[in-house]
Amino acid sequence: MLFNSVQFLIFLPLVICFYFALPYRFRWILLLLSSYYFYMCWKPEYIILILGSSIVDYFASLKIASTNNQSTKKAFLLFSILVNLGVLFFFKYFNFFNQSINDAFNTFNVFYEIPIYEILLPVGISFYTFQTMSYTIDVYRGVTSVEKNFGRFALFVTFWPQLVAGPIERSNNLISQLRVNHDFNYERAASGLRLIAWGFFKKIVIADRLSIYVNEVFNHPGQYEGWPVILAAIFFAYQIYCDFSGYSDIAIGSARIMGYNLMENFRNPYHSLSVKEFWQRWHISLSTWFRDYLYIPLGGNKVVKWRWYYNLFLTFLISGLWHGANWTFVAWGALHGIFLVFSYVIKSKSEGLNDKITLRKFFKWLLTFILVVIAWVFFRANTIQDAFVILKSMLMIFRNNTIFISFTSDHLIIYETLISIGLIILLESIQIAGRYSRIEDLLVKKAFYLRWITYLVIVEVILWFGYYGSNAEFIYFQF
Amino acid sequence: MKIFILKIISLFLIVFGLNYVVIYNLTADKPIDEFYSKVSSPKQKYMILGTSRAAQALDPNIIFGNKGLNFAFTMANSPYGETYFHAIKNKLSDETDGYFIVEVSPLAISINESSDTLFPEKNYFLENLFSFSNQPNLAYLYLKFKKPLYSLFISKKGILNPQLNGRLIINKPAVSEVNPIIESKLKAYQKIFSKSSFSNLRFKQLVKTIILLKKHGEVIIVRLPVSKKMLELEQIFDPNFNDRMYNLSKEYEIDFKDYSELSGKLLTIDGNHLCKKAGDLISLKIRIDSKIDLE
Repeated sequence: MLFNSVQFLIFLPLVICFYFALPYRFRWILLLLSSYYFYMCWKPEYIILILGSSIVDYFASLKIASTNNQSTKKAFLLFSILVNLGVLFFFKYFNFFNQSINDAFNTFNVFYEIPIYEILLPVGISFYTFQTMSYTIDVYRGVTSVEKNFGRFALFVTFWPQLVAGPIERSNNLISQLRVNHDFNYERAASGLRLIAWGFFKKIVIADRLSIYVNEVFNHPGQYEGWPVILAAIFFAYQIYCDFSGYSDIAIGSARIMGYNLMENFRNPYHSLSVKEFWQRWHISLSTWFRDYLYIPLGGNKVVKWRWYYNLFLTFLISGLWHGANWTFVAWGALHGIFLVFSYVIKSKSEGLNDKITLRKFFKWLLTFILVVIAWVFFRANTIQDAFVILKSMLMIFRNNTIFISFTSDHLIIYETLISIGLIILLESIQIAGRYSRIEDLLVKKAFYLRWITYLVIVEVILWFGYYGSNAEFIYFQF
Repeated sequence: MKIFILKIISLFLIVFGLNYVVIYNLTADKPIDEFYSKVSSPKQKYMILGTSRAAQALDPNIIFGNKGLNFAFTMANSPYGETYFHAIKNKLSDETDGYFIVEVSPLAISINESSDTLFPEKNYFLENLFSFSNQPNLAYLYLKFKKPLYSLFISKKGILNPQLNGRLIINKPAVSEVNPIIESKLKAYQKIFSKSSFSNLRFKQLVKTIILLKKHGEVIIVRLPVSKKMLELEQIFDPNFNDRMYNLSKEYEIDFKDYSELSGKLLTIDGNHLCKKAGDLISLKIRIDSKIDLE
């Protein structure tokens, strides 16, 4: 089920009303059934994969917790990881690797056709696989207690607000909350709704609007040159941010109404002064996952320098592959890896320089933003070749190209381009203001009628300036 | 929780009420896009059905005398099939003295074998639309209207000039038979023809549609003229098309008007769609030949 669908607008209030109407002991059952329904709205048969993953991890973690034998623990952990990664590999990467091997063979004039199967990627498979894997690993490490109630564990795996696109929750945070009875809280519910509205604004008004311009430019590499291409790359940076953080906001808001606190997933990523900082602010639940379950086990920075750089690079390379079975994602991850390694090499030479100087800060911000946007070009381009064509086109800024390209109905071209730029400025203004004091707090302190007018304006803006129809799906659903 | 729910419902009612009134006024008597008038007008007893050929050429005002609706869409949306049948059924009024022009062409009763699905129209908006005669049609605005709603405030001057009676006039110049526009269009159609074939399933749906329409009034099947080369392509694709239509008309005792003989004599904008003047002319001819007099 899509958050931005009529179906969800019926589903959400129904689940919330039933949730609070039911006695505490039955609530997890409602949440579990509604989560399965939420997922099955997409493709019912793929629920078997989630169920399978839940069963495997439930029993593996029980076994790990019940024995003191280290090798038995290890065997069950390995079994769980192999099953999870095996399923993920088959559904997400099998064709990709087959195709890549095919291509490699063809390069050396070896014509061996490896079969390519028509496999539909299960929505959210990367998210719930990582969530369940982290649980089993945490049980193995002894940092979380084992959940003996299968229903509650299955709910941890499938909890609908964050099932298909995160935030990727840790068992320590979510399972413990599933054990607590939550009463209805007016302020919390209102805060959740405000966050949902903000998420819808980011998704429907900003992301879906920007996607039209972005699609036009990125799907026709070489057709546009200079400013329209630069604008499209910047638009994509904001499209993916608003799309994904919008989803996270709706997820966190929905869970908050019912009393659950999901982890923060984004913290103004484009305000970062370095690529390292960007990764502390972007898709936090995934970057911390990779930190805790890959980077640190590889040795992190507690190794010799070259090995540390290797660990960093490898983590980002795999993070790129996590996003999708395409070389463009691998290139995106590799680029971030290179940027980070390079920034550490440079840092050791520039240490001691004063960061308080505003101009220096500005250039650091600008450089970070440019690097991130360049990497996004690889992320969005349909092929690696397309990405290079687009990057080359970006350099041709002295050609007289208007930014008002024909990306939507003729009579809306100028309005839509200007609205898109205006919305990005508005978004950043709100986010900058939010750094000094929470916008929500400012709103709560206002008089009743002012609050209501604000809510009304937000809803009206979503309705009148939003895009409905074909661009509806969230980008991160494909991961 | 009661107060919370009460407030949410109040906000919802205010938003819904306010927007309903504004959208109603912005869309009333205004063809906001190429299809809106078709799905927001009341149920009809005089209708023109078919694909884009009929949508662009046939004027209900001329044929029915300032009555009726052009309920033809495009080849993607309204080839004869379950989806279009369902839409027609929902658009029909209960009266039994209606008049219906059913435009037919070989492609409208064919299937594209290279397509992922046998009935690709199921991926388009008509399949999911549940209301065909509501003003404002909020379901249509949500499912099909791809522009943001604020665009309703901005007057539109473009190539597409949709009319309140459902006809879609395209502001493009008419072109002669020998023209690069026609050449490229024909190449595209040649590709489509090479991948398509006559469909018994679609033909059955056409029969089903005619049976339904006959319960509501008189039915005339019409084949419209195109460019000469386009007609040649159609004849190679389905040489028995006219025979099939004659047999159909005999079996169900309805008229079949074949205007394909006029192909090449009337101007088109792309080889496939008649220009406005030619459309007016053919509309008048249908009215005269079928002796339609509803005034």
